[in-house]
Amino acid sequence: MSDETIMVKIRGLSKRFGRTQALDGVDLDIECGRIIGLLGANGAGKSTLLRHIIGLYLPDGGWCTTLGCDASRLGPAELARIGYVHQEGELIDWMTAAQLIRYVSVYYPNWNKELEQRLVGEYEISLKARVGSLSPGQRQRLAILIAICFEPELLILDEPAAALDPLARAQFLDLLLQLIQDQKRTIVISSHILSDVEKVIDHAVIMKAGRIVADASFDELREKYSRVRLTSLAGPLPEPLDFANVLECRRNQSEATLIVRDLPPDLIEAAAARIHCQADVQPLPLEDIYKVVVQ
Amino acid sequence: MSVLTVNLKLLYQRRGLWLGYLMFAFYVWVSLKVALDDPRAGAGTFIGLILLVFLVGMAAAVQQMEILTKPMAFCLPQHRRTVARFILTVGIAANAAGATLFLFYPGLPPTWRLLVLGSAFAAGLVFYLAGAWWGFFARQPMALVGFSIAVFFFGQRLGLHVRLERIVVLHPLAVMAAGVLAAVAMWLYLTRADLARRNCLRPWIGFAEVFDRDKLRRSPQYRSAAPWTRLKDHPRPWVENLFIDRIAGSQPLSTMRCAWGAVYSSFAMVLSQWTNVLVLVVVMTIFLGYLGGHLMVILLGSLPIVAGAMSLSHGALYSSLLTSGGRRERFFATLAAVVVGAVLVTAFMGLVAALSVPLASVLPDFTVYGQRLTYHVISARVFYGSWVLLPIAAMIHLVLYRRPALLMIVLIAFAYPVVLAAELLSHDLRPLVNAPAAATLAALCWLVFILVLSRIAHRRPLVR
Repeated sequence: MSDETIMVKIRGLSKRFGRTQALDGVDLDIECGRIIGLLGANGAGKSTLLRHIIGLYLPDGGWCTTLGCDASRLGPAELARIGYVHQEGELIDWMTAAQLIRYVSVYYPNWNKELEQRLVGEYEISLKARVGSLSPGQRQRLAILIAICFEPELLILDEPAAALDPLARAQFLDLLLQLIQDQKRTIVISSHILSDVEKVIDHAVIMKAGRIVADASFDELREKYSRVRLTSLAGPLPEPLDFANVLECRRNQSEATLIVRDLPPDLIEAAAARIHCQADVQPLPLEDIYKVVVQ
Repeated sequence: MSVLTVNLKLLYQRRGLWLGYLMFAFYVWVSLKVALDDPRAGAGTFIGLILLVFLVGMAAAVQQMEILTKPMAFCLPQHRRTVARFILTVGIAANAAGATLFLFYPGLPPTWRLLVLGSAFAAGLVFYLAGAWWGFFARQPMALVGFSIAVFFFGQRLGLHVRLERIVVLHPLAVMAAGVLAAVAMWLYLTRADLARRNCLRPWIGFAEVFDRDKLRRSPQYRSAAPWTRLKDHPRPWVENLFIDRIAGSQPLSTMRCAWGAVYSSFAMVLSQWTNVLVLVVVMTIFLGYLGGHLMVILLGSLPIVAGAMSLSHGALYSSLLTSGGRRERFFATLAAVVVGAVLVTAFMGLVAALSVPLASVLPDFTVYGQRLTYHVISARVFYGSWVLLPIAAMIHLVLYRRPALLMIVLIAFAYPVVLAAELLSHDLRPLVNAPAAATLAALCWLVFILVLSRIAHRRPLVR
């Protein structure tokens, strides 16, 4: 991986808040053009990591470079290439939506007015309404709009869809899918709604207690973990089942469901044939991959 | 449109600020009238505008802080550089306008007048930047606005305005040097690389956010949850035990249980910080004792209103907790909270009065800028005010619960006549302030309050 293609490079990043170790020796490379899902429980360190990437937090140890620049020294030139949506969607409440959009747009010479107008229509943002009077979902849509209308190269979304209703979430995902058509755009999205995230990400970073416990392409993860449904073709299933790398097993006399790691489909089918079973191998959804990884 | 221009536009785009501008215009008019109606050298009448720019500085800083504290602003490419330019642009404009008043200063030779104009500009800049500094540093800067009138009164009684005007007129070069130093210091502060980082996501209450209950509620929670604090923003264990024992000791589902709960949720924090309250008692006793006469009455008279503004009445009525209390229980719980509030305010004022007796024999007279200050015992008669004013303030809170901005305006509109009456008519009113008259008035106010509370508790929506 050449350094030119890396948007964010993190090495040994540590951050402590009082007694809480928020980040503990995090190493991460974010390549250009990737859509990265940053996953983890509350307090896993996702937001802290994202805030280091934009230079909002300074590390206690290690370092982070964003767009080739030390994250703590990002200047206007670099900031103009970064879009950031904060999880609480806190905006300037006393402005009307139109005033806020106009205010933010002045900062960006490449503001895409066409995209702005389209999103205002699609998100049904009431331009005359005061930002403070908008519902949490509408506010979050507005926050997303002002973070993407200047078409940033690096888009950082910290729990962007948490406050959105299902319809708005679907629109938001459609928008993300449109945004990722641009090969040069990199998106880092942290979210708890894994079923949504898996539709758009191509790389997953899973965090637990301030550490990265998985950093792989989504395809790799889906190949690595699979769910196997075994159905006995003759009599009860043997005890125990002769399968390697089993992470979880639920069974009765004639059927079993296994979650296995690093076991290719041909080996699974061979093992199933040995015990006179039919094997149905399916990739794990992201939610189950996440559970397996963090447990 | 430039980034600076779009930020300057914020000064008129905000409707809420226009009320502030109106009040500010009134003070400007008073300052101009005082100076121009009877222009006298060395009387301190020309200094009003220079002092007023303190508030302009604070407002300008608050405007920028409201943006800086928002996470969306952290990545705005040019905003960090604009803060300093915005503050200085507004400062230069405001002080240039303010300094022109010294064109009318009597008896100055032309060359010296030019120097004095520069000096007035620089003095204004110092005050303006002090206001801006307060806006950037204080956690809730707008709280100072309420005190500013008292500070101006106090400064006037000490003759500080005369002294300040003399410095501006007699030592222009020194004042200009101070102005330049203040401007450079502020510029260096506002252009430092970590300005945005230090302020982004900072728990900070801005101009209109004083009306935003959610934000106000979140702010202490945020601070107490932050690992760098010492978790002082929650009830002490002894307070918790005291109230939980009482609540548990009352009959389940009883009105008494709801009343104890209301008192707990309203005053647990006040009791937990009793040491701070005692410090406040001592400070106020000394401050008010030296103020002596009429102003003491005003400030003490304002205390119950401040106490009424502590949201003590509606907490129990508009509770979001789904407790077993129905409308009747909420009525009694709210009444209990307001009565306990009145008792606590009276106890506070009683302590102030009681402490002033021994202090009067200990604290010496002294002279500040030619003003002789003598310590006076604080009269217990001013306490009558609390039992009259508290139910009125609590009633305003109840009725205007959902209109916080209007609530503030009504409270101010109510407080101003009280304060002005106490200030202007204190000698005439003093004989009228006796126990029977106060008791009758207080009983009447409480009766009206109970009727209004009953109406709201039993007939109106209680959605938080």
